[in-house]
Amino acid sequence: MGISAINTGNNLVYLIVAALLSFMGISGFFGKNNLSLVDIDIEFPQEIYAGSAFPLKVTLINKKRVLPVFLMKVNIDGHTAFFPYVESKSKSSVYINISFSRRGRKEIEDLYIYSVFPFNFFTRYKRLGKKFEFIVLPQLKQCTLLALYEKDRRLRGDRTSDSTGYETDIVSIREYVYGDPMKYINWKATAKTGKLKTKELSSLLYRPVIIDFDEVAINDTEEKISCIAYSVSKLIKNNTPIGLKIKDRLYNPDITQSHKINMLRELAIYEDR
Amino acid sequence: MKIDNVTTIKIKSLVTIISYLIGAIGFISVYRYINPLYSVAFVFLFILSMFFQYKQRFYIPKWSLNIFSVLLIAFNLYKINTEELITQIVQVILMIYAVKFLEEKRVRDYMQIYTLTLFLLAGMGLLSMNISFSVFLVIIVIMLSTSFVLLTFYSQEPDMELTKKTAVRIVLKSLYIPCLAIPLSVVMFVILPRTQYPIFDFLNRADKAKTGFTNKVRLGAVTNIQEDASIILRANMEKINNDDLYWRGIVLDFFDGVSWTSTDKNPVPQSSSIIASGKTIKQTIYLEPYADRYLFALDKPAFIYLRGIRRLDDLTFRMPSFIERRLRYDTLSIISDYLFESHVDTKIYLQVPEGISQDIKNLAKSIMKGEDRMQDISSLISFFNSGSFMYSLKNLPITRTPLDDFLFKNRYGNCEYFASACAVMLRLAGIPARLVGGYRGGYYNDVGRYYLVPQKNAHVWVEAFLENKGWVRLDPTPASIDNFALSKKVHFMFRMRLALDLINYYWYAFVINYNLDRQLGIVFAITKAVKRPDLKFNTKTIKHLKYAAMFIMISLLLFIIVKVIMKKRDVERLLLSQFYKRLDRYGYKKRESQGLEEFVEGIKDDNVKTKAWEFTRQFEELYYRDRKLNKDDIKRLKDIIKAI
Repeated sequence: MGISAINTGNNLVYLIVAALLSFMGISGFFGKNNLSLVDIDIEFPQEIYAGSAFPLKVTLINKKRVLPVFLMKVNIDGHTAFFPYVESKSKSSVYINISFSRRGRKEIEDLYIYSVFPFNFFTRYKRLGKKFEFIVLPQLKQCTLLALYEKDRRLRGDRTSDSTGYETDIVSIREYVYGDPMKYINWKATAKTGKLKTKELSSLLYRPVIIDFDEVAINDTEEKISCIAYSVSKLIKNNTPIGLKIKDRLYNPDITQSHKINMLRELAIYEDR
Repeated sequence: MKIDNVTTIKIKSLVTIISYLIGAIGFISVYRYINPLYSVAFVFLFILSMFFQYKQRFYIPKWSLNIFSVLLIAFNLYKINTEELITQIVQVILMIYAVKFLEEKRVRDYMQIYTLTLFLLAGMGLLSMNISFSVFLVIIVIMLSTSFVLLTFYSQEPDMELTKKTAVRIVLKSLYIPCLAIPLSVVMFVILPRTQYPIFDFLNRADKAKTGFTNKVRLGAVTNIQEDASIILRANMEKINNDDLYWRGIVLDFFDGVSWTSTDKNPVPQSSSIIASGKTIKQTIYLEPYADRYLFALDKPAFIYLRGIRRLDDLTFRMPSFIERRLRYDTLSIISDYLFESHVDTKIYLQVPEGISQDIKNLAKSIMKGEDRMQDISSLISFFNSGSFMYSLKNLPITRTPLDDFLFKNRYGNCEYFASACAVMLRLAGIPARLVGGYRGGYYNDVGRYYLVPQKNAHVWVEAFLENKGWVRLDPTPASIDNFALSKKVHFMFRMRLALDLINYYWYAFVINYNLDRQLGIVFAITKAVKRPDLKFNTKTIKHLKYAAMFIMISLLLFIIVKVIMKKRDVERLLLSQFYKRLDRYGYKKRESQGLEEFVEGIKDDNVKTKAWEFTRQFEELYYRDRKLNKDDIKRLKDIIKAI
């Protein structure tokens, strides 16, 4: 078209060429602008287990004053989050399914945004130079170890705790509160008082168990870690206080969620390569 | 997924709809210039393709469409001729355009459609110089950019659905691109490189020749010109007295009783001066194409600047070929009723038709006694202006003896009859005379500072030769100025048209006629202004330039101030970088990944480390409390850094 403009000397063809050139120039500017003032935030779920997919929340923050972000893709370790349109001065989130095969400390370093906007001719990239660190917990693998501890626990017997739960012993009877399960209504007391009464049952607290990492007789370290992790997670679910002895460190038995995570993290970074 | 109250639009449908709109506009831009058969074919195929699109089935296989396209090109190649080359190319492009619409369209096909649209538009540019081109250009640029953006969305995810709100937003925001691109293309247009000699100049099709003066004018034929509503020329110049507005074009000197013709004239060098006294007026004339080769300029044109122009000895200017394209030329004219010449060829200028009637001879003799030529001339003019002759454009005597009918029977006619009768009678009285064809009057546009001269102002007048005086202009047509000037009663619509013509004028002046010369002109003007601003200090343009420069300087200054203030807010970062610089002197470089404390902890020299900790502690205390640092804080921290 440019050549034809020069060769014909026709100003109207020149006008088209001028329009095309400025169009290309402006679109180049828009393409560049599209990538600027864009920030990416990633939110990790608390528990990321090796080998299983989890949803990763990717948020794109458009800090531009006027222009929206068009057709932005975010590369996160080879996974892509796609944002078709984000208004100026606003943010948008998408979830991408992602999984890591190995436990341990992980870094997302290769974080870049790219877009074909405004025209599908070429893709512009921009590295964000941001780093996200997180720990991938070991894969949970069912194994016989748990059965061993279960057995051990049964042998030692249970112990009632002072806290209420939904086990068998009645601790007290109280007024019905909306939402109490029907089966816990004490009909006898209800009949007596004429008001709905609920049984308060004790929760059982099992005897604490401590897993000594070195004592577990599994040769393959990964297998061993996965197995211990599985046991830890399962036992805590069953309300069994569990502790862990690993590398001169002792986690005293407990049943809280944060305790579980701490132990799994310790396992995750064990001899991390 | 369908959410209540939220209508979603498929991006694919959006792209399709806009592409069809573009297709329709592409077609409209060229249909006037091509064979109607092709137009009909295109419309048929276009509607058919809409039907296919609606049914989501494309009944004609792609290969057969491709074969059709190839055959079409081959057929047109076979028929090709250089005269109508562009028209043929446009027709072929239009057919391929239709074929593209008939196919099932993917991203690539849409891109091809858009490219073809631009080709069609270029074709329109080559086929027409009309201002409507710019309208099409703007519409197409806007639509194409919107469509391009949507197409990019489509290419990323073909099944994407947008809410109506988002779709509208995307379209609106993508309009920023043409909004910025259109002004930029004006700049681009000015600076794009030009050549002096286009190679394929013939591709620019000539505008259709209009009516106008030719070197043979039959009596009564000028009415055809006068009934033409179009414009013949625009002349950029100062406003002058209406009585002086005679646009000289052609000189007619041979009369056979029915028609006037122009005999062969000798070219004279343009440098030879004309002898006339009066005011010199410079004009820049934009002449529309018409049926002959003569250029028009204000009467007594002394000089016309145009490549290839020839001046003839009857003071007319002629181009080597027919004026098939709009021309722009500068000319200098001397406003004068007289043109001095020492002698003339009486054989030419005293010629009368052989069968001229005795009645006319007698009439001439009765009016002009032959004692005083000046007296004779004035009595002849007053004979025509006495009131017994009427000016009329209707029922003109187009007979074998038009002059007799005019003088003795009808006693009405238009300028040709008056001028012819006058010239013939002058010749009969022994005064050499000739007819000058051109235009009379014009409408001055005060904004654009130009005269608009329509075809209806076509006029013929007489030049008579007097010894020692030369050629004197005579206009026997009664009250002619009223017919050609803008009277107060003129229709409002006509005034509106005049005002609107300004757009046309600028279009021709600045777009169509923009060329290497003018481009260089701009460069020279700028360099001149830049090199010697002091010399032109008090001219108006420089004054404007000065204001512009001042405005830019002030904005720049404000920008810098704002930047500095903004930076001040970021004083924390500044302090940190000073701190790092200081430590860098001792060879401690902070790595990107290191935190501030981590970095300070890594310092081996105890003395430095203590001071660095001092800074870190104080800095963090201020920074993490989210408190703005005041002057004292900054000074304290700076002192610590200095002490390190």
